[in-house]
Amino acid sequence: MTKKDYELVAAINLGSGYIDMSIVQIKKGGQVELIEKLSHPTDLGGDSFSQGRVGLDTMRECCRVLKDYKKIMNTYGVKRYKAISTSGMREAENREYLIDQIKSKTGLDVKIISVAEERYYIYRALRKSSLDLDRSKNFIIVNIAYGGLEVSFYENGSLKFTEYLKIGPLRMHEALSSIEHINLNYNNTMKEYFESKVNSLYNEIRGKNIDTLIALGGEVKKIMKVIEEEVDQEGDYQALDRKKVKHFYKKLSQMNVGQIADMYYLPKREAETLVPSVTILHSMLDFIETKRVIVPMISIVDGLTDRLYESSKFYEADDNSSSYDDIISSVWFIAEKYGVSKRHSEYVSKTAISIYDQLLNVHKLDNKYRLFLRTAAILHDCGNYVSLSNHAFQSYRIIKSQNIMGFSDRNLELIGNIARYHSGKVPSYKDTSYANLIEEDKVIVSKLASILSLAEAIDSSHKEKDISVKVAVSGDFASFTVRSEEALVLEAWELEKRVKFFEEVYGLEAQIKVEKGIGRK
Amino acid sequence: MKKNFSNNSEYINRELSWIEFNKRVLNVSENPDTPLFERLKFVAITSSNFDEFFMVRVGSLNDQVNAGFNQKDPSGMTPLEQIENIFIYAKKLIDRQYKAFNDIQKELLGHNLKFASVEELSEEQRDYLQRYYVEKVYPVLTPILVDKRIQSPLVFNKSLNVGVLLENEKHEKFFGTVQVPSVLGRLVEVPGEGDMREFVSLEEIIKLNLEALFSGHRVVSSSCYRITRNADLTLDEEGAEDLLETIEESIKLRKWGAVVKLEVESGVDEELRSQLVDLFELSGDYVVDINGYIDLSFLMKFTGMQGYEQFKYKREEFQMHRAFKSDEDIFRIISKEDVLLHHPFESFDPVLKLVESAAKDKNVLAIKQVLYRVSGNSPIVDALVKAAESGKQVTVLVELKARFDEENNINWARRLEKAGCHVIYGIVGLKTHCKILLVVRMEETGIKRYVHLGTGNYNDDTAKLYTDIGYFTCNPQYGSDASRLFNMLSGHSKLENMYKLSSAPIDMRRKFERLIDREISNAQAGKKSRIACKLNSLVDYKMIKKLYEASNAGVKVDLVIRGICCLVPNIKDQSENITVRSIVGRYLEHSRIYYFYNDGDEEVFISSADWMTRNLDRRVELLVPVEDEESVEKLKNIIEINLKDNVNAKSMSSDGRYMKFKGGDKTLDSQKYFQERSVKENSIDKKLFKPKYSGINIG
Repeated sequence: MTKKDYELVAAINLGSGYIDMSIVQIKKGGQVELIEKLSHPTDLGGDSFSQGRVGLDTMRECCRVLKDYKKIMNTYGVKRYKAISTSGMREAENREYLIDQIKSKTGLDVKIISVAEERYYIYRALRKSSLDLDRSKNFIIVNIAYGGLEVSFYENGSLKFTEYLKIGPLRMHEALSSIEHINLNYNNTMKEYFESKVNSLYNEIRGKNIDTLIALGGEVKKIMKVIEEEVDQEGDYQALDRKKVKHFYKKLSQMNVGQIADMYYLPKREAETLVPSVTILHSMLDFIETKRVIVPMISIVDGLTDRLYESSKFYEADDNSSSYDDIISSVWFIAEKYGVSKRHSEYVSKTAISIYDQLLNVHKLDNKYRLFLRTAAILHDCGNYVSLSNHAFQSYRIIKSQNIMGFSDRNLELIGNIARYHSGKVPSYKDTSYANLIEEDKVIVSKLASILSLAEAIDSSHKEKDISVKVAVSGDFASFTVRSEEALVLEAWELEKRVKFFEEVYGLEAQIKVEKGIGRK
Repeated sequence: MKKNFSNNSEYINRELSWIEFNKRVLNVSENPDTPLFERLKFVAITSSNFDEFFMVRVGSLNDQVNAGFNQKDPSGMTPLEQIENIFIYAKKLIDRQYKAFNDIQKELLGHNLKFASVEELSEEQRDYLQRYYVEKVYPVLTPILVDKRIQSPLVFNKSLNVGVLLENEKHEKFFGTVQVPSVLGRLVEVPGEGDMREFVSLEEIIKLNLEALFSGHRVVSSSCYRITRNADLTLDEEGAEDLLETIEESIKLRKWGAVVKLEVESGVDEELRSQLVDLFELSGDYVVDINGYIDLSFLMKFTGMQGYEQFKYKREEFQMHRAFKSDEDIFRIISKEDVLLHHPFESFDPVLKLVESAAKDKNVLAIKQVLYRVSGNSPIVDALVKAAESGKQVTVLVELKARFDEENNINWARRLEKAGCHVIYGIVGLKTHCKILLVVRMEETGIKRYVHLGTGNYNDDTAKLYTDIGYFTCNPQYGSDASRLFNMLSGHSKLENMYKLSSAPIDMRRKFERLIDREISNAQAGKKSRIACKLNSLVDYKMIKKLYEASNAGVKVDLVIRGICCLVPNIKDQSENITVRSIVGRYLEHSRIYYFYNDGDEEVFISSADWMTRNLDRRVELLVPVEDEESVEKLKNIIEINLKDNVNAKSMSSDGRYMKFKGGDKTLDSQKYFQERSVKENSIDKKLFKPKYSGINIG
């Protein structure tokens, strides 16, 4: 074959209960076809949740499975792949050893992703699916993963908050299995246990009018498979009536694990987590007044392959490229929570992005950093909530402790640092947060912080004046032309002060020009 | 109803139903319309069928008895009762088999072929035999004088032996035995006079020389005998690190399983008989007296004699399906349309060609195949070896547990491994019985998968003798399902949801239940409903119950079941809407086709599975929906013609016995019909010809 009009890529997820791999074929014209889909059971989650470490047998088994997967990838000549691991490995203290073993035995680089990144990929998959959500309504997305439960609340179509609770079905089973055989009312105990853990979450959504409950995760898919006859299939998602969930819960509560396994042709390990999973759904339906549960047939692997698709040469952007909407929406939710001035943040964010875009050829940063800058700009003042005197540092601390969809811990560290240097302070090795960054990240932080700092200077009056900024770069020189009909004394002074940091980072000699004229409106 | 085959009217004992099947096999040899040598062949097949039956089924029942397990089967019989009944019916059938053989011998005599006894021979002929004995036979004989106080003699399973009662000078009795060597032909032709060709059995020649063989003893009496050992291969797979080694081990063990049946010459001396019964620790009921040559399976070889074409079935030219007639690239052919082959009437060669082309094609990335029973010099194995050597990823699942072929299978496994194939031995506890071939090819527009799904094994020899169905497709959903199945078989993955296929032991049983349930609810809603299936055995109790349920709901159910059928048809308020037909003819009926009317949106499936509990619960099997319009019509037509067959078909009555089916005005031999039709259909240029099949009559 001379020239290939397609590319094969692989996505691997080392989950708590299964190691999954999909190989997809990306064709010229942007079609994506599933070629292989594999799923192999693993004890990663069981080990991590009960002992905090992955056992030797599980490690070996993981490597063996991945070796097989690698062979299959080789058969298809797969070059690009993404291999990630979620809660199963995230919580194991010996995770680095496992990653190293995988690398040396299979050549695969596995990345442990944060809860927020996990959510990002899942939502990405969700967006790709045919499920068409009415964005004018309130809905809840619950992701029932083996190791944890993640609940996202959308109000009027935009993401308000996400809670991650370490209370997945496998964890519930591990926690309660020791009393199963001595407790006649095991299921009820399980429900009480669960509700004691999610009480605070329920308080947050109490009284909200929720129209739809969307349930994600392998466990939910298993439930759907088990009560197959009662499921309504619609495109690539299914719907489950609340009455059926209640009925099923009741039925299960009269059986033990062995009986459940026999009745539904399930391996024991899958039967074990069925009761906690149904308990979770049942409990949520107790709380949320919706007629049915929508179950999209997607998994994190679909999100990974979509990401791989986006970076392939056959990628064709569709109209719905607002893939960052949910992220930004949840960033705003945090900003509101910490009482930032929406208008100021919005203004700074827009200005920063404008400068960033005008400097594309200068900073040469990957497109994803645009979102970092935007996030840092929206949240740069959230530290005021804690302290007015060192608010920039507090902003860093708040950002760092957040759990924002799509961002890894390392990403948040970066964003926090960018925000920390928004007010003209130059990064220093005396600042531990900065000193601890790796060299590469230091440069990125500085490049973006210097832009944010200039953008913030332009609204140093917090009056959101009509100002336009034009950046021109030629050779070693850069000029920032700031134009407004209003007087810009304070702004010009701040800009002059802060541009030195910019000059140092980019190695450019910069000039600030203030001109009278029509601003951006 | 007679209680012979069952203690109730719901379920017929499977063993007795099997013996009924073997009777139908024997019936072919009793039929004067069957060519003479073919009649001999069916006599031989009856024998070898019985051997397998006793080794496995009776072996297993013996195990149950020995373990004190006395639970009744669904027909209400304990294991011991079953064994007793088996011997009663088997003995009757064996008598009938020898009668049939005698009848054939008489006819052969008319054609100058004679199975002679030594007494009938002339002096010269006897001299000839004596020379033959000294030169050829004597050197390979190992006479054993048995001292029972020390050990019992090693007598091989299914070997033919001569047992001798001996006496020394002190009038002490001894038992001696000598195996009739299997390295020599069972029949020896003696030069005769005129046109008559005469054959004498090897054991008779040995018997003439017993005195000399056991010198120092006087021969009191002698008889040929043969034992059948328990060969039910129940493996302790738990902890079996290497299945290959475990099976090699058990093949050795099989030679020494407990004896389940003893055959002796009728009229054998009582003392010799009791010596044998003691020796093999057998109950006297399990001794079968044979009036003639013991073990008639040698007749198979006899019919292979040069010449005598007039006594054999007319050699048929198996047709190349018209889709495969051109020289076009096989991948391109399958890309154009799905093709369904009806073997043996349509040649098996395209399957070989697909594997061979895949092995050579530089764009093929991977070949995956399940090999269950392959032929002696399998061209498929050769092709796979070639493919692996040229760097393709070749995955072969060799099912080592294919009964009685283990030894053969192990050889292929080793050879494939040596060539670099990824050889897998399936899943512990499950026999892999599905027949599937997957070729993954890199094409200009992307990865494309070619799949062959069949009802028969990838065996080019049996493909000429068995009726089977094979289905070629490159529909991506079948391809994806095939990949998923192989990923499961090779342990890479649990079985992910499949688009089209259903598999045992995962969801096939439920699928069948649902298909039948749908007919039931359609019937209850006053809609038309119909089930018509062709399979080899119906044993599974739950499926039978489901079919009764369908019958009671008014669903018309027609079953063409070649072998065992435990369902009892024609019982009011149970099965009055069910008919069961069996076809036993020249070719072994082997295809499985399942048809459901589905309120007009008909669904037809092919499968590797019968309705036996082992197929549905303990094996990896596939149920394949066939969607291509022409193929659907072809399958429906096969069932319809099967149901019209009034030559080789017998219909089952409620007592478990079978009577010749006498429906229809014209005589119709379904196998002949398919043969003739395939010639017609495939001789015409494809472009001009579109076959028309008459579908199933919904009545």
